[in-house]
Amino acid sequence: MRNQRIASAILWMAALAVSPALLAQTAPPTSAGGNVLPSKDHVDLSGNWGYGIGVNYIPNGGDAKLGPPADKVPYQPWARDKFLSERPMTGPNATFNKTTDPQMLYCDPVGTPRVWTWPGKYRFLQTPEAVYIIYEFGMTWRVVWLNRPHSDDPDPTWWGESVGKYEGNDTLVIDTIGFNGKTWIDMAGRPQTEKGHLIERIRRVDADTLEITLTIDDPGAYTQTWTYGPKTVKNLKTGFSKAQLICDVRGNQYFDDVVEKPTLPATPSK
Amino acid sequence: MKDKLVRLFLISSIFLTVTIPAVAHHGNAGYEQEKVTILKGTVTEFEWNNPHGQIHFDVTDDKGEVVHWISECGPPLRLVEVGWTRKTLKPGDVVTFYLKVAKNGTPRAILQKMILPDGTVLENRA
Repeated sequence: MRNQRIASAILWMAALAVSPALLAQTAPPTSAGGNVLPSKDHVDLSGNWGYGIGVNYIPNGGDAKLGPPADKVPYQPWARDKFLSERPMTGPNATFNKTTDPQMLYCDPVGTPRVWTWPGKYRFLQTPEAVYIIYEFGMTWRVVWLNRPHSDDPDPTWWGESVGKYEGNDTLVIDTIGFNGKTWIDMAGRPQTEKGHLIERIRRVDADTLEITLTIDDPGAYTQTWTYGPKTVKNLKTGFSKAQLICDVRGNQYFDDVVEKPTLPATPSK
Repeated sequence: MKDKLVRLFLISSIFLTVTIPAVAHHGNAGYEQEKVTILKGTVTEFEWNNPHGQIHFDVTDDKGEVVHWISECGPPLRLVEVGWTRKTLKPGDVVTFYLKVAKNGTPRAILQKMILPDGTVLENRA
């Protein structure tokens, strides 16, 4: 038995010596969650995190139920009017009747920061060049390129262009520009424009806790920058669901027709 | 029998303490917020769908008339976490439903929990 072990060790060392390719394929260190960790100098974000961090992204001290100006969101006049004209399906002004929510109506990509309102789990896949964030809800994902500047003139896109860097040994900071202005920043219907600039700070407090803080800077719609959070999410231990939740326009329409529309208050006939 | 009851109680207690995500596909403004209505009905169809499942069931009212109800439940993504499958309900099952019913009186509801024919308690998860 002992001789077998020695022989095995010698063969293994010989293989490594003659084949640099084998060395290159040696697995990098992994965390308990299975993520590939490029170094130990930064935060390990492995875990099954969840759920959403709220429906209304308003400044601390604001009152979402009372709406503007009590919500303390620094709207430009057009953005306030647009927000007030929206018909969201969740939040204090929820209505099923003729919603204007582009995500619910058309299954438009949810984008960020609205994605953090969703009640699903998410995982961070950390690689040397990027962090991939994988969202269970909607079966969607995004990429955060590490340690590189933004493009000079990024194409306007649903998710924008995200670059990131690690800060200290507990935080990932994500900086996103290049939005297409077609998404809402939250579930309640606050607008986002092509001038949007979002900072997301993901801080690992301990093994079971993350803090997510959003800094919303969008001079196309708001007069000042504000911060939402920090909001705590937990390591849920269990992995993604075996079932799938994907937005599907026909499924939404069927549900609204069969279940929701019959619950609407009767409209007086004219 | 006593063991079964104790087990049921424990299972129910666990379900009641599970943290349920606050945000779903939509709000629930069209439904009673506080009052829970208990109805015993016969399942006619169970749709294991996104964005929500739908349970169709018939309830015989006080006048002997059959009322067809539709209750929404969570999406499969959430329900599998609390023990549901697409075969959880089948036509003919007699089930006790705990519901938040539509404010406008139509037979529509959001499920809170249900008791299956074998006594199993299943919570809804939105």
